[in-house]
Amino acid sequence: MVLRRCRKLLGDDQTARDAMHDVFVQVLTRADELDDRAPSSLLFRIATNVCLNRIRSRKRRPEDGDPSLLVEIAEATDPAARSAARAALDTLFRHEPDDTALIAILHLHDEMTLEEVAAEVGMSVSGVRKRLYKLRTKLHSLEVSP
Amino acid sequence: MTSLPDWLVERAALDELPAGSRARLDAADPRELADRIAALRDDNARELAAYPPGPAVAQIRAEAGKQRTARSRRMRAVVLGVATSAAAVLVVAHFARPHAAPVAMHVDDGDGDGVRVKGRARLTAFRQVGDQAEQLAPDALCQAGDVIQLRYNAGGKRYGMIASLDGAGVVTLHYPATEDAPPEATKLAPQTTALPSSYALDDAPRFERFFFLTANEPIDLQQSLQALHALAQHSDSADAALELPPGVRQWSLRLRKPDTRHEDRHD
Repeated sequence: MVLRRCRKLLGDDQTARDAMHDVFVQVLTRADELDDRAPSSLLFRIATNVCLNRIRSRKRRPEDGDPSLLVEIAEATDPAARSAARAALDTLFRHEPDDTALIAILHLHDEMTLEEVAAEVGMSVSGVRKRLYKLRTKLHSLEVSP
Repeated sequence: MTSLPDWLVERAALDELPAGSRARLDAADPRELADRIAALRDDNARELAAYPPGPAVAQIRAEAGKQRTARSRRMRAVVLGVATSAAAVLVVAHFARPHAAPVAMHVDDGDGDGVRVKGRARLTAFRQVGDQAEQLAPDALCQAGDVIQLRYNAGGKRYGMIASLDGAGVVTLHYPATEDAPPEATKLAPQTTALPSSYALDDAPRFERFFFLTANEPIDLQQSLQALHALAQHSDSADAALELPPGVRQWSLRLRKPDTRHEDRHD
C-alpha cells in the first residue's frame, strides 16, 4: 500500500522506493507519538507527507521536472486556471501550513469528502473547508494578478 | 454505481474502512471492488517475491536507530519551548477563574425570550504573547498567526455554540467540536470554561468575529451555521446581527485584522 501510494504521487519507481523507506523510518523513529489504531490511515498520511516533501524538494531542483500532482490539484480546483496554475503553485503553498497541501491532495486528488479529510487529518470539517476555501481564493487571486 | 478511489479500496482490502466511508463502499459495484482488491493482493505477492523484505527491514531499523539518537540530543532544546507554551496555558487558566474581569462585549440580544437571567453570557478572548496571555478588547488589532484562546461564561444559559466569521466570509465552528454533532452536544458548562483548544488566526482580511449563541434548549447547529453563512454573504457582516430562531441569544466579539488581501497582491 505504501509503495503504491508513493508511486502514484511521485511517478518514478526508484524514487517511490526511497520514499517508502523514509516512511517506515519515520514510523519507527516516532513510534511513541503515533496513534496506531488505524495503521493503514497512519501509513497513508505519512506516505503522503513524505512524498509532498520530496515534491517540494523537486521544485527547488527544476531539473527533476514538474510536480504533476500539484498541477493536477490546481486543475481540479478550477479548469480555467490551468495555464496560470504551474507558475502559481509555488506561491500558492508558500505561506500555507504544511498540512494544507495534504488536505488539498486528499480532497482534490484522492476524492475524499470533507468529512473523510477531517477524520484523516484530525481537524474539524469547518477547518478543512476553510483551508480549501482559502486555497481556492488564493489561487483565483493569483490567477488574476498581473 | 460509482467508482472507488484507490485509498478506499486499499482500506477495504485491509478491513480498516473508516466508519464515515461505509456508504461509499456500499454504493460501489461489488464486482469492481472484488476485482480491485484481488489485483492489490496480486501486486503485494509480486512485490514480496521480487523484493524480500528482510534486507530492507534491516536498513530501515538501522536508519531509525541513527535518527532516534540524533533526536534525543535535540530534545533538550525542544523541552524549553514546550515549557514556555505550558506557562502560557497556565496563564490562560488563571484568567479563566470565574471572578476575572469580563471583557466589554459587543452585545446583541436579538429576539430572545425576553427573560433576562442573572449574569450575562459572554465570550472572552486571550492572545498568547510569549509566555503571557493578553486579554483582547473588542476591535483589538490582531495579525495572522496570533494564537487566540476563547473562554465562555454561560450566564445561566444551558446550551450554546461558538463560531467565528472572518473577513473572507469563512465560517468556523469552535464549539461543539463538529458540525454534525447532535443538538445535545451544545450543552454548556455552568462555570466559566476555556475551550479545549486554541485557534491560530489566518490571514483573512479586515476582521475575525466570534459569535456566542446561547439558549435554554439544545441548539440546532445546522440552522445556526446557516445563519452564519447567510450573514457572511452580506456586505455588513462585520457588524450585523444573525437571524436566529426565537429563544437563541447572540453575542459577538470582533477583532480587527489588516486588509491582507491588498498585501497578498504584492507578494
